[in-house]
Amino acid sequence: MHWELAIRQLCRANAATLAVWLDEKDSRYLRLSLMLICVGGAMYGAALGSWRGELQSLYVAIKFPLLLCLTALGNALINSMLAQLLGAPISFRQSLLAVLMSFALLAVILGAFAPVAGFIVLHLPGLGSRGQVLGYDFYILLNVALIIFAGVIANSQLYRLLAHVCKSHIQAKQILTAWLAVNLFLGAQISWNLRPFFGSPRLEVKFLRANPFDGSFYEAIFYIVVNRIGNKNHE
Amino acid sequence: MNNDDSSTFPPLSEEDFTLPKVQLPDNIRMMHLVDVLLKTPQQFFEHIRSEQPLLHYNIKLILLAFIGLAIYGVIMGSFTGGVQWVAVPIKIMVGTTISALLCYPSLYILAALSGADLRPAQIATLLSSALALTAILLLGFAPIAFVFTFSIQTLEFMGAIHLLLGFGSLYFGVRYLAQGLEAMDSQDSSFIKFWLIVFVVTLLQMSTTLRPILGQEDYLLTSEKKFFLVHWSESLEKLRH
Repeated sequence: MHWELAIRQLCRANAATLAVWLDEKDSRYLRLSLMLICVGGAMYGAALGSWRGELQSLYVAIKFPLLLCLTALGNALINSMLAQLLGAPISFRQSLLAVLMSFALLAVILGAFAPVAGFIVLHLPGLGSRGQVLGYDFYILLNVALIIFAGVIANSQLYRLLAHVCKSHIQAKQILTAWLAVNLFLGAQISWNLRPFFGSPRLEVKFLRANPFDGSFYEAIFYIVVNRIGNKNHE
Repeated sequence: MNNDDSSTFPPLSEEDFTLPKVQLPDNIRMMHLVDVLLKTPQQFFEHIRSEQPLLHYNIKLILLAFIGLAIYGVIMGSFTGGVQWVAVPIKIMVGTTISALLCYPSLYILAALSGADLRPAQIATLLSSALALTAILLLGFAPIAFVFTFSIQTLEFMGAIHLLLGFGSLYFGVRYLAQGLEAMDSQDSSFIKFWLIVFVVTLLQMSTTLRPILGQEDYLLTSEKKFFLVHWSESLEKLRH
């Protein structure tokens, strides 16, 4: 299938058309989804990292598609088990493909916004300039808004596909919620291991932080909350 | 006497109320194209939908957009005079083209998300026709801008007038784009509204990137990067002092 037609089919999300993808026995849709994740994710990653310079841009262009692929592959087994537990007629290959298709749509949407996002980010007050704080805040806000927008659309299209396959909206909702929970749970941790993505203005540009596998996202959140509470008590 | 009118006049069918479908020629004249964009856009949507080659139309639409933008640019440049007579029309044409190119991928994806089944070439034609329509309307606003150019003294007020006229023209351009997508099976207009925000932000940033467009500086272009909100707040500060 031509990649352009595949993008259109993913975006239009006609459940009957996408169900054909799931029913296909060979691996071409799997490869197509992976290719879209890599290209779209790399384009967006390059725009995301551009505020800190070319090197960070290159690093994030590699790490962003990697984050999506690792999350999908890491959860492939549990996603398939959850779908079967919740009574959906979905095999291991089909559940992996469904998640990859949803990630591919996310990457395609983000990739389509990459030129505009890159252009805006390029003109924000840069590192070391007078308006650095405004620049960094707007940069974070813009990218978080874009990721939320793309994430909401990708998941709502996945829901439509699941509802078509399961023939029950309640079942589709349960499976989507379960998949979202495990994907967010693992995705947050992998993004922690692969940080920096945004690149704090106070830290130097690196592919990975020193000892990337020491600590976890959840420990970090825990200590932030504990320290905040501790500081308030001291005040 | 027969009171039943229907026996003398046969009932009108739906076809009696619709205009006959006239196919657009491959080698359309410029003025005919302007007429179609303003009066019968549905005819043009039909043409885009019919899968016919669109290259000739695209070239003419882009040319039309350039003519409109160039003339309006000359009027903008006349506020400052000197080298800006030439620099502003070029900047407006280049800036609008780059903005359209930057926003084209997101328009294609958002159109598909809204349900429209369009190839990239069809979306490109729809976008170039919307830009051509916007430029035609700017041309219509040109006499108004001309009058203000010779009355207004403050740069910031002149900028506000151009923004007002620009947004007015863009409103109709985007409305045309939304109608076009609707005619091509788009089911959700919220996506095009979102794209409009993205496009306007890009245009506003482009106007800052290509500064000075209104007013005189020592340079024609600057490499200094500045976010448009920062530039606007600095301009307002100057006005206050």
